[in-house]
Amino acid sequence: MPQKSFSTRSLRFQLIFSASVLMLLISLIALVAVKRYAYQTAEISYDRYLSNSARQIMDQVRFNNLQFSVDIPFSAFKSLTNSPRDKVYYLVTTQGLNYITGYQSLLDQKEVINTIQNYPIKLEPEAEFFHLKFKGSLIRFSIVSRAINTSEGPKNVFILIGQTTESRKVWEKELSNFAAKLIIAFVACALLVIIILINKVLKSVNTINHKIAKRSNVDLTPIRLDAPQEINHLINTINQFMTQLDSTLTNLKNFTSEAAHQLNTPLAGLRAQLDMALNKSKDPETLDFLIKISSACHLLERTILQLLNHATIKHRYQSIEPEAIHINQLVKTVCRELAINALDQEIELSYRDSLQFSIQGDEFSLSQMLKNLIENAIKYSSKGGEIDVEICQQGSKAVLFIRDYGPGIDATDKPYVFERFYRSPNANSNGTGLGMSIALDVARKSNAILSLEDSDPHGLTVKVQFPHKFWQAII
Amino acid sequence: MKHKAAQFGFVHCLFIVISWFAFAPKTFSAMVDFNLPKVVELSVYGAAYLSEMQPLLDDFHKKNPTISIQYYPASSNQLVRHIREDNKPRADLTISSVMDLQIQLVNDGYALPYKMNMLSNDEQSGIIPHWSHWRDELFGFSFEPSVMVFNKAFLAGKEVPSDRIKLLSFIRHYSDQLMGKIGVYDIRTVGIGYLLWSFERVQAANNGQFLELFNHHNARTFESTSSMLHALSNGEILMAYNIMGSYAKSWQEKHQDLVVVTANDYTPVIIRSVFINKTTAHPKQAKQFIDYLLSYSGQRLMAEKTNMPPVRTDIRSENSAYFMREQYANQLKPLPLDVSLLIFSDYSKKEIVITEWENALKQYD
Repeated sequence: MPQKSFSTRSLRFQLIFSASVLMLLISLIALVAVKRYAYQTAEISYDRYLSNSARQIMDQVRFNNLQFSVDIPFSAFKSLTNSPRDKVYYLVTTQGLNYITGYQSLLDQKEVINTIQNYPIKLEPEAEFFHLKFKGSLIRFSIVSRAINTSEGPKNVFILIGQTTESRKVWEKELSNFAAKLIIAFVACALLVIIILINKVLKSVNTINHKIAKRSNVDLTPIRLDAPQEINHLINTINQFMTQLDSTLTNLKNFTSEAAHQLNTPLAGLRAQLDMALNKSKDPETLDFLIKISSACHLLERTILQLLNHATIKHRYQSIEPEAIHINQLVKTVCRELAINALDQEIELSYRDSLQFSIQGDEFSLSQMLKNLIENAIKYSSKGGEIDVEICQQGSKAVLFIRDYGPGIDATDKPYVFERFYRSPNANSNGTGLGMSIALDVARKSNAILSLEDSDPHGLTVKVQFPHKFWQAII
Repeated sequence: MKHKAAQFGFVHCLFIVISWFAFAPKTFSAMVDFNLPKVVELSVYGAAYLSEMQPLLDDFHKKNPTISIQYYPASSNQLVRHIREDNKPRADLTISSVMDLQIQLVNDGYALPYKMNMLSNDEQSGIIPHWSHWRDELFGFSFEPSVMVFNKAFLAGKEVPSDRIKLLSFIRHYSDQLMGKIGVYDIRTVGIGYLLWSFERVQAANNGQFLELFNHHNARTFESTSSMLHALSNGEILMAYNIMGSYAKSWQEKHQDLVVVTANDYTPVIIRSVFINKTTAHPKQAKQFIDYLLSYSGQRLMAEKTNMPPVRTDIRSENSAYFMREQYANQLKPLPLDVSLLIFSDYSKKEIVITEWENALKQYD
């Protein structure tokens, strides 16, 4: 099977696929946004605890006895216990990096030194924050500063207080998990609604499809359906198209009968003149020409007839309701019609049946098929030959055999027999090359299988099989 | 003073440890007979008297014959130095009641995390109270109030001061008798003394009056609880302020010459805690020991055989954290086992507190 492109897949698949992809994309964006938001809120709230602690320590920095001292209040770290699992590191230092108290090893950190030295000195100190890898884990630090009066004038003192980020991560995770659940639920609901809506839309398309499918071939009246506006447009277009088709078919019907009439009239004139010329002519050479013209004229007549028949058959299948046809009777009628023709050529046409059955089809077309097949058999039989027509049952199938004992057709030629205007190289008589092609067309339209086999000892057997679904036995 | 601290060294402690080995002969013979897996030796460093810990160590060894314990009693400051300087033999477990130093060691990454089943299991999580541990690293196992202790003979016929205000007037009233006879921890060398004193300094408004009275009465400073209890017992001193209750009670049970008083205005409560050292070579056995300390049987034994009140909420005898917390809810002031204690081990704070204390007690030291 060829690879299906997306645009030729079912509309339901396309819609649901596009909707799912879109929803997935939206939820992904939402998830990222929520994660970002969770991170920020965690950052803001926990940063506030840090800077509050730093400010409380800041308030207790004193300069006594030529040195700084800090009596850190008990409450300073209390707010940090809001993150019960996080470790705390802090440092109190001067701008000159003179250690006052806290974790002295923080002074070895390049980033700490940079932050302190680049800290903007302001009247109202604002807390700044930064991340630092310290003692093997990521620490979020807050830094505040204030000028303290000393004996050598005001000096800037810095408080750094940092905390591991476990609680932030837990908060962030909880928040984004909750949001993720919400988003997933929302997307699931939205998808459900979308699928229901898609089904609703496609249902009216299906209804049109059903209405058209249920119709007979010849019903070209407008479709009546109460559907949404957009679907109504489609129905209107289909109805317009059907009206056009109806008028085209009518025209074609007229053309067929007109063409038959128009071609047959001059041909009949030609034939009459030719017959007259044949009677009057004495010159053997002229007579010879005239006989050749007459035979060509006969072929032309037959070709026109076959073409018209084929056109009629095709037209009939588009415009005529199939009806029950008693095949045995039809075959017998056709045989009777052609028996005289066969006898003229000293050919015996025999008929026998072991099954009576009927099919749904068009009588005119089927009789054309039978005529063409039997005429062909006559044409290819030699004088004194026989043709057997037989109807019987093979397994579940009803089968019609038409056997002749002429030269037959080579296996290599059999596939081409059904082409229009194909003429067997063995043909010793004139033919239009249309008969078999018409027969195949009719057989197909009548759900039958037309195949060629060899007769015993030689000759051609045409086999027309009707599968069990398409025929009814008549008892 | 300094040389006294040095005396309290490891060589002396080892002696006690070796004597403890006398408890092991039964398991030794069993090992020879059945060729059992070899004994793992856990080094436990404790700022706690072996006598308090002994029943627990014995019971643990009885239950886990393949684990033997070397117990090294040490002062809290020695303990901290030993761990920070990574001295040998390395500690597998560290036990101490000096909460701020324990918190600081854990904060500085000297502890090995241990996700205890008892803490993660929902059914059991209420049994080990949340206040008794920090991170999955520091595990509190007993809940010990600090007390005032008096010489029994001295207190005879006198009204026992039940709170700090009454104590202040008691000291003033018996000023002559108490001259040179009040004992306090030397907060420069005794970690628990420093922690309790700096905690009081935050909690009590009359803290300054105490300093003044101690100064006025030539208060004597002691480098250990046992030396102070000894002095109390033989009348060298008549009262001691802010002593670890567990030790005082054990002494009282043995000698019956002391009176132990918990102040009913407020009583600071210390949580004695243990952590697994990060450098341990036997994490599995160390975890087993912590499991034991917090197990029902371990805590039950603690309640029955020692004066360390257990923390488990399913042990509710009179000598248990649960009972005390229920009974004396508005009297107890437990020190929180969390980072807020870090401020007490702050360098600058220590300078301030000790300078203050030295200034007050200077001339008699």
